[in-house]
Amino acid sequence: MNILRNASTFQLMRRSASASRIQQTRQLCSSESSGNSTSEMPKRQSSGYGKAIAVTLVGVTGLVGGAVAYGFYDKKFLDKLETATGLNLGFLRAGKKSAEAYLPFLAGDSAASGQLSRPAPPALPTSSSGSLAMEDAKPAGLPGLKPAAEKKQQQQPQTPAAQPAKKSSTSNAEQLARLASLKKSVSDAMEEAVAKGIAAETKARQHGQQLKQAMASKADSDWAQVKAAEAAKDEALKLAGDANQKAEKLLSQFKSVLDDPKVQSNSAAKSGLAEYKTFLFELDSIRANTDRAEAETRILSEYKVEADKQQQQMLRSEVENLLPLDKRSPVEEFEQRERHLVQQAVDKSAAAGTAMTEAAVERELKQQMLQWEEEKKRLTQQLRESWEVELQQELSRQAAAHTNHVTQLTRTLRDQLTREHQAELRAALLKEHEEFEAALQGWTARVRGVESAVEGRAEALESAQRAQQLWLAAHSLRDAVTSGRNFRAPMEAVVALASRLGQDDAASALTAALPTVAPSPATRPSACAQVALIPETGGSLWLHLVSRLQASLMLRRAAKPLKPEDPVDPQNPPSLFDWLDTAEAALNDRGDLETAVRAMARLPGMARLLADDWIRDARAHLEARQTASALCSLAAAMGLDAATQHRLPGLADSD
Amino acid sequence: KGEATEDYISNKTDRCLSDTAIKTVSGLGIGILCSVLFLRRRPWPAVLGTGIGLGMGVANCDNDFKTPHSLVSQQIRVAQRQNDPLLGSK
Repeated sequence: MNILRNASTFQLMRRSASASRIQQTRQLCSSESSGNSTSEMPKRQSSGYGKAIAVTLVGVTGLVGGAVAYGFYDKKFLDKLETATGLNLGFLRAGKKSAEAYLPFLAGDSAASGQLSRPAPPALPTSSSGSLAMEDAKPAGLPGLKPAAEKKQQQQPQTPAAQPAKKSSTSNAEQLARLASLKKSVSDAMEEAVAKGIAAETKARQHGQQLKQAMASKADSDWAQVKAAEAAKDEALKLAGDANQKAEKLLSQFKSVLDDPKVQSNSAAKSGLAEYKTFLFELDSIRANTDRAEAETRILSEYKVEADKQQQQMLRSEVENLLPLDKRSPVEEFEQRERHLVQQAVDKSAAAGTAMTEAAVERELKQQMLQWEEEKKRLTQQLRESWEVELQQELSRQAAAHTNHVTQLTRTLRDQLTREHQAELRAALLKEHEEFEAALQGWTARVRGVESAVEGRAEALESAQRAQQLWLAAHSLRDAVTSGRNFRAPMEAVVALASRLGQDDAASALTAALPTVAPSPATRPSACAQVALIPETGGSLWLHLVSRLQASLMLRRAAKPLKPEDPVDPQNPPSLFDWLDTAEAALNDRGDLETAVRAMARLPGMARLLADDWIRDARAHLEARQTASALCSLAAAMGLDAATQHRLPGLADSD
Repeated sequence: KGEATEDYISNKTDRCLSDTAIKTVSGLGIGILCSVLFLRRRPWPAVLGTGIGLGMGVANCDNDFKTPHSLVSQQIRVAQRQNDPLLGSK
């Protein structure tokens, strides 16, 4: 829409410029006709149409030029003008400003494009167009300029082609340094070109003004000033051209460096491309301004030439009037010629304006297209980036959600598996523990059984051993008692052994029954025979003597020994000597102390009294022997008990 | 311990003989002494004394032999019946 609006605006401006140009031409013609003596033209009756067009053209041109010139100095007015017209007039802002300050579309899309999408800028207009430049910006895409433009385009690919050979060998840092230096050089060259361009434009305007003034005054001094101004203008244009060429050269070098693949990867290349575009646009703008100013002056010069020709023609016509060759009046002819001239000027200016407008429109269209393309690329890039960002965000969200879900599932599964594993582990451990406990208890019971068996066996063996020891001690005691030796030691041994066996009560009782004195085995029953006649109450001395005599003189027969258990005949009781014989026979023949004791206990009288101690000792001896026998029996019983316990342990608990 | 009963008669006999001998000798001595002191050493106091001594001794012996022996009852101490293994349990 901007291009259409700009096109319509251009149409209006073209028309207004055309009208002003026509009006200006008429003014010039009128001023020339009134002031100049050498080229004095008679006053002609101008048509309303031509004057209107000329005035319109001149007025529009002056208006536009004044607005542009004022905008060049007043930036606020320039902003308002840009807002009102919708055009980009940033090239009028002088100073070292980067492209991004007033050409933002270049800054956003320089990375996306990477290449200069604009066509090669056309060269300075070298051929005379004969028309007044109306537009404020771009120079016209005139046919005469195309070869130069094509030549420039052909030069540009050649120039970068000569550089890669140099750039390939330098390092990336050197290229960046070169890029920076080139950038600075280009910037300086652009500044110089801008200054020279402004100076050239100023000189051209001054020349135009001088020309107008001279055409109006027709004074020779004015024409001298015009010539001086023209020379100054030419000089300024030349300097501006040189500066532009220099800037173009540096710009091409700059572009060649930017086109280097080693540099393109760097971020500095992006800003460099944007700056390149900015510089290029500035250069075009400067060239357009200078072209416009030069076109104005050229148009004025051509108009003056045409006006001079017209005067000459009028003189000729006056001369011819003297020789009436033609019926027409010189005024009518002048008007006709003026009309024709004006028409030609208008046509030329219209054509030039149309061409310039078309070129400007085309240029602007291209610029706008480039801007749109760049904007589109930038927007596309932004959209892509935003889409990518959103996509990444969405992907990250989804990934996070998925991760959370997976994490939660994993955690849940982990917990479940952990619980199951712990339960299984506990069950297995419990089972193993129980099995182990059962096995351990079995083994423990077995060991205990073995231990108890061993201990029982050991105890049985020990008890048997003690019983054996007790039996041996008891037998030794019996032997000691029987032989009449001192049986105290065997008795004590028997008591100790019996206490160890736990039968100390029985053994103690038995050993307590042992007499403390050892009975004397030596018996003297023969002493009792000496008191055979003495009763228990005693007898006289004479009786004792008689009894002794009797005992010494008596011859006893080897009577049959009596048995104490036999019944006694009261009519014929056994005598003392019978009993003594029985006792002696029992002792001497059989060693039967018990029978002897029993027989001795049957002794009557004093014999019994005399045998009392012997009987007591014999009884003690018999008791000791009986006790020893009882101890032997006890020991045997204990040994049997131990043996029984060893073989039949259950019987031990049946007491 | 006291004397053995089997030595009862022999101890009595020994005492008797010793007593008789002592008496006899004592009588003899007294007789001799009297004889020497009072009876101008006549033999008949010695003999008398001897006879007196001897007779006293014999009489003493006779009396001693006629003395009955003191009866000593043998007391059998009964063991404790409660824990007597030979007599059985309680």
